Amino acid sequence: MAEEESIAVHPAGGQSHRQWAGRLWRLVLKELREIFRDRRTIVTLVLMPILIYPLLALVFQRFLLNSLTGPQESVFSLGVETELDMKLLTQQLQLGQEILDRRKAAGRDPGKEPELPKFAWTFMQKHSIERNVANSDIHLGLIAERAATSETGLAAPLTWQLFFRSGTQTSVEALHFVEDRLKALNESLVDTQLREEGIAVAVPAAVDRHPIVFTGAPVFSLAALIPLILVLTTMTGAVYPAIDLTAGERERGTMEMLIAAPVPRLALLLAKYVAVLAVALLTAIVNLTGMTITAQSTGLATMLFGEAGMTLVIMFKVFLLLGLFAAFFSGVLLAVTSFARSFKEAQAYIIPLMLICLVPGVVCLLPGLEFTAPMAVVPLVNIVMLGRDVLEGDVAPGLAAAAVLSTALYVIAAIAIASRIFGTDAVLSGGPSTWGDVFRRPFERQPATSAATASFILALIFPCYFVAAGTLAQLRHDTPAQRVVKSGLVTALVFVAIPAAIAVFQRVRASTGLGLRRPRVMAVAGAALLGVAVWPFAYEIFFVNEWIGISRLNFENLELYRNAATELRRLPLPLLLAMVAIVPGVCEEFFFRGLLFSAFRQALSATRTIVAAALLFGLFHVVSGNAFLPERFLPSVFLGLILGWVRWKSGSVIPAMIMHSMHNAVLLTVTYWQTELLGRGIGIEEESHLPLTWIGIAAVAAASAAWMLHWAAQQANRKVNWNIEPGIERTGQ
Amino acid sequence: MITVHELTKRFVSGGKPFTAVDQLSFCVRAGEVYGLLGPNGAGKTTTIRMVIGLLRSDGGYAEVDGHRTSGAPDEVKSRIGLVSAGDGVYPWLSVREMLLFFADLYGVPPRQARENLKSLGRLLDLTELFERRCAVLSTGQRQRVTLARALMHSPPVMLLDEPTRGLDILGSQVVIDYIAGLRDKGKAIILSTHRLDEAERLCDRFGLLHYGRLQQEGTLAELRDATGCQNLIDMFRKLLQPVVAGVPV
Repeated sequence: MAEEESIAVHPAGGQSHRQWAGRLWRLVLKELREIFRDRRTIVTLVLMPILIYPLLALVFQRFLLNSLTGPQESVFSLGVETELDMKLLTQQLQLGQEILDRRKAAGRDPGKEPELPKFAWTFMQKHSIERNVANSDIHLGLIAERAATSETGLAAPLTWQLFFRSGTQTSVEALHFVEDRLKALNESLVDTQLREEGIAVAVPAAVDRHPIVFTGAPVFSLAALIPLILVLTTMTGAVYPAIDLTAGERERGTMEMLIAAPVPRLALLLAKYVAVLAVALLTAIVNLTGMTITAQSTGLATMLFGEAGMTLVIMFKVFLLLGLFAAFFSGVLLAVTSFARSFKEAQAYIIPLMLICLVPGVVCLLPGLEFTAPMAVVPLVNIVMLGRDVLEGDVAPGLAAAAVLSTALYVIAAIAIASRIFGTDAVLSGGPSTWGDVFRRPFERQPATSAATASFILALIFPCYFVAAGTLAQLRHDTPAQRVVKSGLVTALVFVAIPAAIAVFQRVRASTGLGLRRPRVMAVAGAALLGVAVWPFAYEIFFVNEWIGISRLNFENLELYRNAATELRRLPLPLLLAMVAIVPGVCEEFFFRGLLFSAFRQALSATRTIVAAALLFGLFHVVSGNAFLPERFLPSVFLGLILGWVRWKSGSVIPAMIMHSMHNAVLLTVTYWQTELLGRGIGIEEESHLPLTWIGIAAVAAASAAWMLHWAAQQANRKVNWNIEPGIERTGQ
Repeated sequence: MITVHELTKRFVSGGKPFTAVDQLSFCVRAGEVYGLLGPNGAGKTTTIRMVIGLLRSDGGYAEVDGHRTSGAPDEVKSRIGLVSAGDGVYPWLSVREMLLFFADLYGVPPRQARENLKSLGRLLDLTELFERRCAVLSTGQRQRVTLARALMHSPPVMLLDEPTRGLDILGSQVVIDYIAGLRDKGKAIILSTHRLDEAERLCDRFGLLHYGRLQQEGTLAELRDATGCQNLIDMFRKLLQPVVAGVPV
């Protein structure tokens, strides 16, 4: 044991990011190794597509194809008593058909008659005809009833008793076919007889049919089936690995030793998530390949996607959607199965979930259902509707962005929940896990919210913000002042009230967890100056959008912006400054540079924390109400990076709040007094760069502000490259 | 090395709260095997889980090598090797893969991990089993793999909860001998077992636990003096006897 004795303790906390990434990758590999060596995975992965899809294709062909094609290919099965009846009926039908054909040629009946179908004749006794129709052995039963003599002395009349199965399409079609031809024959004979008698017949109400072929988009698109199929395939792929890697750990007795290791549970669950996602993706790809082959070979592909069949573009779209569905289900199933302590328990949770998840897939088949803003943030419904619209080639970018972003946040929240519940007291000690375990209030005060809780808050406030902003945009009866006030209230509710309530519940210290520390005066002054100086750079970044291919404000948005600016100019400036500049500045910073920054800072370096918070800040600004504004991403990220730097440098969120508010206030004031400023020769043409002098002045002011913040930090005895804020312990690196 | 101070844990069973561990205090020095003994439900496993941080205590604290479980969980976990009665194995991994996986979890560099593997394989007679899938191992082999797994990162502290459960006499002897070797190397060990004969031979001090409370603590000699019994079995019988008005019945 000499070698063993020489080993030092290897705390996990002392590893670099690269080592961490390597370790995470090895964790994933171990999970994948376990899954792929298990025969049950192979059954789900390989045998399912081989067995299921040919069967599924048969079902489709049998029911779907038959219901969508006309009766051209039909074979009517007719039952009569004797060969004589068959010959008589055939003769009468042929005569009737000839009459119909003549009428058609004369233009009297322009309706498109079906081609003469094939008949399959069956001879049976009179009493069994009705039973055979009822049993669907024949489509139509015919009994010829002949009168012995005629009162008029004419040829003995014949009455065909027709037996059909109401509600069965082919049976009704056979009935109509026979009736129409016999009616034509009868009419023709009556007409001839009357003409022979010299009687002219005037029909009081003639009818002409004018069939119209609908050339617009089909009411029911078969492409809408694809999201349902994606739900089924990705869920099928994710179910088994999700159970095995969570409940399976406990059942095998490996959970305890896994969580006894010095690895954060979030990292363990992240590795499990990647493994589940990999299997879900792989299963879905194998399934889709099987489906594609089946669809192409059976002709279903043409029905689903038109004459071109399944093109590369469609395959690419389906693959992207597949990734989205797999990402969603992997997260959700991992979270659900984390509550379970055995395979059996996990299955009991998952079966109802699977049934619930099928509902959006089926609902999106409903004709006329539109993808609306509230739907864009409803889990699963959003990606199902997005999938349908993408495949139909008609998708709104704003709704698509909201659906993807909200789904990403839900996945992060699901992993966070799974990491909170996996290996908790209840799971280990055998009691039932509850939501209380997820939201358990800590006994001691926390320096900051955990990354898991922060993810959960993100997933909660994004849909709230999206729906609230969308609803506000719809309130047409409100006055501009009411709208501005309501917008401020929504911002405060979403970015302050919800995070603050959770922070209080989690016993988070305001100073370290929210950055609510008293800053140095110089830091406040520097931040205010930076807020004034930074807008020209944010403005110029709009031009970068054009350079990298993201269009700037289009004509429609420009008009909306001008209208909004005109409307705002009618309101008092102090109200606007309060509700449009200060409230968003303070509230957004409370969340992004306050709670979120402190949460990320526990696990990430200062640079990564600043970048992560800025990226999320940018994403929140891209989706606003129902509008998709990609041109706002870069300027918002730019501003977020500077705000993050200010937060880090000053050690407080208050300077960031001041800078953000100042930035908003400057832009708002310039917009408010735009006409007056232009009248005095101060201003710029729309769509043009700022004068170099302006940029030069702004650069000097920004440099001065940065120096002030740096000086303030030095005065506070904070090193430039400090790794940790006072009172915050880093645990994850 | 290990300090447990007024550690308390409460559970709710059938809607009623009960205290599984009640203000438990003891300490274990380096190079000492501490026998945590008691009947089923006495609170031994719960105590061990709280020491390593798998369960959160409702009061008191546990410290390992100067680090509190509540304050620095990863520091504590990295210093502990845990062997639990219910430990399982990953059926589809080979013994080598599983042991190296756990070494990796504890941050042992790959080269060092391979050396440890070799050394532990020799000492626990596992070398022949390295390439076998864990699913095909016998109970004794699994227990040795579990012990090796807990030692892959050379922890200074070992928490052993029923490490010989399910083993035959020979298998138990291998484990017992190995634990004695660990003590000689200066590791602090908490051993929880129902095999009182093994405990008597192996442990330096004992804590007799009942209803979550420490009833007696000391060396075997001290316990003999305190209880008037000669061996642990008799001490246990006495411990479990119902008491009416201070008189055993």
